[in-house]
Amino acid sequence: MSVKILVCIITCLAILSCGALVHAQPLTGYEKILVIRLGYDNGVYQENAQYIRYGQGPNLNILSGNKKAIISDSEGKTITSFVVMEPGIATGDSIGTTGEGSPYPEAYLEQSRTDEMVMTIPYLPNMQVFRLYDAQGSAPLISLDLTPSHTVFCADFPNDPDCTQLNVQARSSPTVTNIPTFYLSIIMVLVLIAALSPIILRRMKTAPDIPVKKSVLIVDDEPDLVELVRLLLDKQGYTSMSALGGKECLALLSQKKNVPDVILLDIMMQPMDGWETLEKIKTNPETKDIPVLMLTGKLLTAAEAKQYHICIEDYIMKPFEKVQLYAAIEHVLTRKKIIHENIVLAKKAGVAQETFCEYAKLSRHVDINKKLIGLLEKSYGTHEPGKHGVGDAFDIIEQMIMNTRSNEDRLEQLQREIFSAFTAKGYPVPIW
Amino acid sequence: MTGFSIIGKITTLIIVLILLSMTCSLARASSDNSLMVLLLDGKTGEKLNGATVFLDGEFKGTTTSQDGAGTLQINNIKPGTHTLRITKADYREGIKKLAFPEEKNVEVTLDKGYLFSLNRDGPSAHGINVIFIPSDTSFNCPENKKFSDTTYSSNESRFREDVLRIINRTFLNLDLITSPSVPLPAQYQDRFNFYYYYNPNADADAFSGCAGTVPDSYWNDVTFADITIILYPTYYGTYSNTACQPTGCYKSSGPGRRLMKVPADKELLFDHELGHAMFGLVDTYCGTTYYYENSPHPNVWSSSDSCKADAQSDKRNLTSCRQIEQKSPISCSRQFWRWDPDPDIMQTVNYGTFEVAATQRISYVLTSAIGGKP
Repeated sequence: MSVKILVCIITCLAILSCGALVHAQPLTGYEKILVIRLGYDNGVYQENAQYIRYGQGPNLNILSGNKKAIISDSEGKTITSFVVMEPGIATGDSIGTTGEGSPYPEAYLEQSRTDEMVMTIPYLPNMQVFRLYDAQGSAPLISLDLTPSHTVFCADFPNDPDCTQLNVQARSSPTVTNIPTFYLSIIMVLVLIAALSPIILRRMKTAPDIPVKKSVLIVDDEPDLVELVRLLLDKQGYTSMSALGGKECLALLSQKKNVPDVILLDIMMQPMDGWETLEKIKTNPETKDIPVLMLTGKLLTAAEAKQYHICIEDYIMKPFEKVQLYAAIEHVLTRKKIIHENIVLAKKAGVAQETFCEYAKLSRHVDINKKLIGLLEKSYGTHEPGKHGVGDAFDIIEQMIMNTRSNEDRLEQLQREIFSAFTAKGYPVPIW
Repeated sequence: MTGFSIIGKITTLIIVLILLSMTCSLARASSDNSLMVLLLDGKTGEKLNGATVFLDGEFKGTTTSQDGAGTLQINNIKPGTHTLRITKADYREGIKKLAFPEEKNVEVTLDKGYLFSLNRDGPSAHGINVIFIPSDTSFNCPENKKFSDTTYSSNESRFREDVLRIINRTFLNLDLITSPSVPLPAQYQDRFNFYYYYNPNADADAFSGCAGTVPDSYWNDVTFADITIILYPTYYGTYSNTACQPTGCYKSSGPGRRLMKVPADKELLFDHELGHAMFGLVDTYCGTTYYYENSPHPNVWSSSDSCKADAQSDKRNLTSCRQIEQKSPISCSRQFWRWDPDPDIMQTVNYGTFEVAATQRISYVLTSAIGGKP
């Protein structure tokens, strides 16, 4: 029996591997652009052409101008927007000389009443309507239905993933071409189920599902507090370890069997304080990925926030409520789990790993920075632009606020890209 | 009979079914429903392996030597019209429509591309794409005429050297030409992707219109340009009258179509035009040019109040807001305001650096682009 199962599994895996090789879709090669050509005649815009083609588009975030373009979906929801310069304008410069021979700038303005604008826009699924506005205007200068460009493109490339998404019916009924693959896949699944069912049944009978307990390392030089936190964590179902100082913590971590899922780290310890311990944890490749939550009675300073914000996951002030502690640990563990799951989906959806990792990293930074800014504002007072007085604390807070805003803008942009890719594949959008 | 032995029998049966279906599939593969694609280099006729083949928008495989060099057999083709798309690095994309089963053996030729990357480690995701293209014309101002200039079209190395010098001097050393009081994003140098487009048979013309023109094939090949720079070797003579063409110019015709022309030997003019083309900066000198408030982080304001409001929010001195005007060689004033101290490259054109407000805008654009290596 076991030989048959083995042969069956090997056969299935071999065939599935071949199938995967034949039908593997490349992650790149499907990038598309939407091109809209607009004629401009003395303030009036008209459509000259619109089409979708394969290719990469420019970066819409760095444009300048005094007209605003918006692309929305069929429900009127904005998918992307950008600014463009008024058509027909070219500005030239030369260096002339004055009568005395001194150089001076000479302007040249080419202002045409007729011109053509060409909008090359990275394609996003569900693009339905294009509108162009004056910067201050409420009525669009021109509004275009983008259905024709989709129709023409999908007539030529009906099996492009973005076209098959549009044609649900075509996707749900396998075509003649796919019949062997379709039946073969069903047979594969049946065989695998048949082969694995004895093992699964046996395991279901004998092995109850035991959740793996997450482990937490508590680092604090107050034994009573360590004991209290241990009790709280044990009660919540965590496995806990403890170290009564920075050096003990590092010694514990050096034994590979003692790698915790989370570290709770006090700051005011002797001889090695929490920040130094943190630095050593984060500079060691073996331990740098362990999330660290600072658990301390010490007020966070702006300089510390600036220096260490990228190394920590949270900053919990003593005395704390047990629910606060549980929530912080759970938040960190859940985030890690979700990121891991979504990275797998992102790969399948064709999102570049670089893009997704940047999103995950920025999302974490924004989350932590907001928390730290809140703590700093409790210590130093609410920040107001231009306010000075406590060393450079407000400058640091302002810088953190600006960085966070900038990261949030970038996050929004990445989110759009990722969500579009997920939606196009029918995957649930990532939740953080 | 136990449950396990029943499953064993079913398993054996299903294995037999699999083998049968595989036999069927193989039989189908060699049937009349196959399309054979042969890929050739358009110039040398060399058979090309490693190209990615899509049929009707669906990935079908890559060309290999399995059935003869540069080929791919695609099975189970339905009768009718199909669109074949083939891509290969360093080659222009090939698209061919075909009728099946009339065309069962299709030959596709791909031409080498004209776009060359200058980034050693390849392009960065979200980087600002800067593409240089040579002009085969220059301008002689004293004689008021443009003329054919083959400096670049006959010498790719010379063009490439000029491009690399400009990249190194300007893009990779922005901190030397911007205000030190406004920090640029860390490793901003990694936020650019540099390319040059070199097709000796289809150069740009720097003196066709203010900003020049590029061949249509360029727009077809380069869809992702954030800025296209037409480079010409030099401008002869000194600008003296309106019959002369401008030395540098910028025009935006929409995303992907931002065009700037400039001579390779005027570095500061390059900075000025780059201020327009890449960073959306506006001229701060008084003249017949185009003014508008280029929000956010403008370097020109449409009112004194808005200039002061921005100065206050950015903790800059309000009294530096001043109207754009000049007294000589001609008296001129405009209803727009500027803040940057002189020498401001957007005012002087041929000396100075990007000052505080301009650098804030530059920093904003570089931050918005977000790219480069982590």
